[in-house]
Amino acid sequence: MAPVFIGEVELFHFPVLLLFGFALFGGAMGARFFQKLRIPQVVGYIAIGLLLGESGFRLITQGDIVHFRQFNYFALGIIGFLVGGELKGEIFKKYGKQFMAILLGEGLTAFMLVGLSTGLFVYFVMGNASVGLAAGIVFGAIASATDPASTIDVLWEYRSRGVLTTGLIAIVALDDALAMTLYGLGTSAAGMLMGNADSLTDALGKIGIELFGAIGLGIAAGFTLNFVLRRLYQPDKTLALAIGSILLVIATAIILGMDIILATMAMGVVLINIAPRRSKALFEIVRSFSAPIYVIFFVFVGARLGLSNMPAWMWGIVGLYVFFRTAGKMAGTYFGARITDAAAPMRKYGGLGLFAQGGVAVGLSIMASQHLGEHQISKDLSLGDMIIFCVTATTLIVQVIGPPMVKLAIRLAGESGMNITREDLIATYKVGDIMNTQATCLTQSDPFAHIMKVISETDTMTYPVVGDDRSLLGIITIQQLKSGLGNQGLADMLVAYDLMQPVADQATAEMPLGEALDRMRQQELEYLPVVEPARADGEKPKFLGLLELRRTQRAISRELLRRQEAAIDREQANRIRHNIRKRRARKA
Amino acid sequence: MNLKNYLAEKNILLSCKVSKAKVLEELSDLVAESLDTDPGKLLDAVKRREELMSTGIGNGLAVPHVRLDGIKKAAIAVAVCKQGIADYKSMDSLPVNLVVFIVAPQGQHETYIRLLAAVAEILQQNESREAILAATEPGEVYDILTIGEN
Repeated sequence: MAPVFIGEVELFHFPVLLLFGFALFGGAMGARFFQKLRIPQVVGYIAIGLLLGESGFRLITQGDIVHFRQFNYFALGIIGFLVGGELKGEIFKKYGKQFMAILLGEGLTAFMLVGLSTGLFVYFVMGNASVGLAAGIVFGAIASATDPASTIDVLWEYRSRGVLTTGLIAIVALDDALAMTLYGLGTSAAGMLMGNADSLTDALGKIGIELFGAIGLGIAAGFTLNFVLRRLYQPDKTLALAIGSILLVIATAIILGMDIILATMAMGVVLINIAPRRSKALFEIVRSFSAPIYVIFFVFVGARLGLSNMPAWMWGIVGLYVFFRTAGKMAGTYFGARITDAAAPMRKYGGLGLFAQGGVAVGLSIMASQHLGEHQISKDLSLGDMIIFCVTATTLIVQVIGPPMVKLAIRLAGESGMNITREDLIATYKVGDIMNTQATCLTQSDPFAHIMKVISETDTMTYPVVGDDRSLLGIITIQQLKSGLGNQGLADMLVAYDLMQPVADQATAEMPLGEALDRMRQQELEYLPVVEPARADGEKPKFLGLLELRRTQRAISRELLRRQEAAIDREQANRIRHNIRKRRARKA
Repeated sequence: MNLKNYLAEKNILLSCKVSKAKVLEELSDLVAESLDTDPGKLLDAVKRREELMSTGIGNGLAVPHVRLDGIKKAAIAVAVCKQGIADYKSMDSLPVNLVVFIVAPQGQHETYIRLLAAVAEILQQNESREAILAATEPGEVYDILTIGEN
């Protein structure tokens, strides 16, 4: 595109900013809309992408997507790094065998079922066994991949925590490596079946570099970043250092033909395991930075999915692929979990959590189209085109049903909302939910002796003074009373009216708790009276309750602890049940 | 607490009216003048406070007091009423001979309580009360209330 100028302003870059603006704004709005429908936000991003892209208004073209390929690499690198940050050594020690069995179970079963069904279908349609076998192998390999990005986005969105959540994170993270291996071997085998291609040993060598090279690169980068952070630690530079390192790892992986996600994931794993405390803050910063990158990434995923020009018979492949991939993931997870005696939630709902298919599958299909593009299976259709069409369509279907299935899995396992932070919890409350409606009130004529008696019988620090109609007149705090204590003569002179202070600020029951706490923090208030909304007649509003800082903090901490304990209890209960089953099986 | 900062000899009356309403009005006028505020507003505030509970605290002593918006400093006025104010509704139901009127700005809660405490401490002593009742000049009352503060 040639630069276009209006006056001094160069418009060449404008469309880029416009696209990013559309993607971010539209994606965020789409996410909000889908969240209202209780559908994971990632579906909203993709839906907006569909509207803006090939299947919609074509504001984002394939050319743009190719142009922004580097951005997608960046997003995948960030995703890999954050996933790595979730994989602590103890998890692998505890569940390593289980994860491996489930990973192989779900990946290989999906590979075999999809490979067999689509291979047979293509053979019957085309009447060519080699094409059928080649297509089956590539489809099967791609089917084994699970999209870590959208799966983890759902787990984070719903603050999930527990044995299923841990398992899903580990499996989707490692799933790529399996898909890559199967794909590498698959395309090599398919190429051989179709005529000219690398030998199996060459393919194995390439896979070795792609996977083990990526892991080696990530490990080296992890140690280097840790060394730099230890020596030059400056909190305000942490994000720049982390993003810089991730970009360097991504670029090196691209140059050396290695897997990006695996490389940045290995870097994340190293950091979280060698410096857990130092890197915790780093992962938090990168995670908060990643939100808009995720939005743009998923909008582009949606925009890429173009389904026009697709021959009708290919929908048969799409149907078989989706059905057998789903069956393979569910059955494979179940058997993998069963063989290794994994906890019940993993066995029962693990398969549901592994539906999502995204960037990696589309990426593999694009690579397959490059590898197998020259093999024509009909007059105007190459094997590569068929793979791209079908994987795009299945990605669209699976990406739309996948995230809600992850949500369903964690909900059924009772793990949704178990990893909630204090801020998340506060955001769910209104002042009315947590205010003390039983606050002891005083009237303005209550004498000092009565006030002291009330204070001795209650455990609050703040006492609202109300009129006969419950209108709020003022507040008495224990702090204010200190100056009046110890002088009996003075006590005889005072009533609540003399001691009360005007109300500095007040809240309504409908006010979000976070807003009320912010106001208390800004004004250094220990309490906030809660009143009815302002009255039109100018009369003082009626008192409803008291929001006390200490009591609120206690209530929030209690609820947070309850949820954390519930998550731990559930994990322990699962472990105990699992051990009992194991013992029974041994006895039997 | 230095009462000198809040009490002036001109705000000490040695002969006063024998009704509660009248004496409060008289003292409100005095204090309002020294604080340059509206006497009617001050009197209304004191009356409202008295409606909640009488400030006649027994032993012939009354300490009407109130916080008021729109004034910058606290002030004290004193009325000695040897005949006694019978309608003051004192805690011990006896007539009131000594009225100490205290006004403080709404925002100066600490000053307000300290002034009340200082006055209560002095007048809890029988000798102080008797000396004030026996005084023939406002300066004598002033000295008793501010004694020990030089």
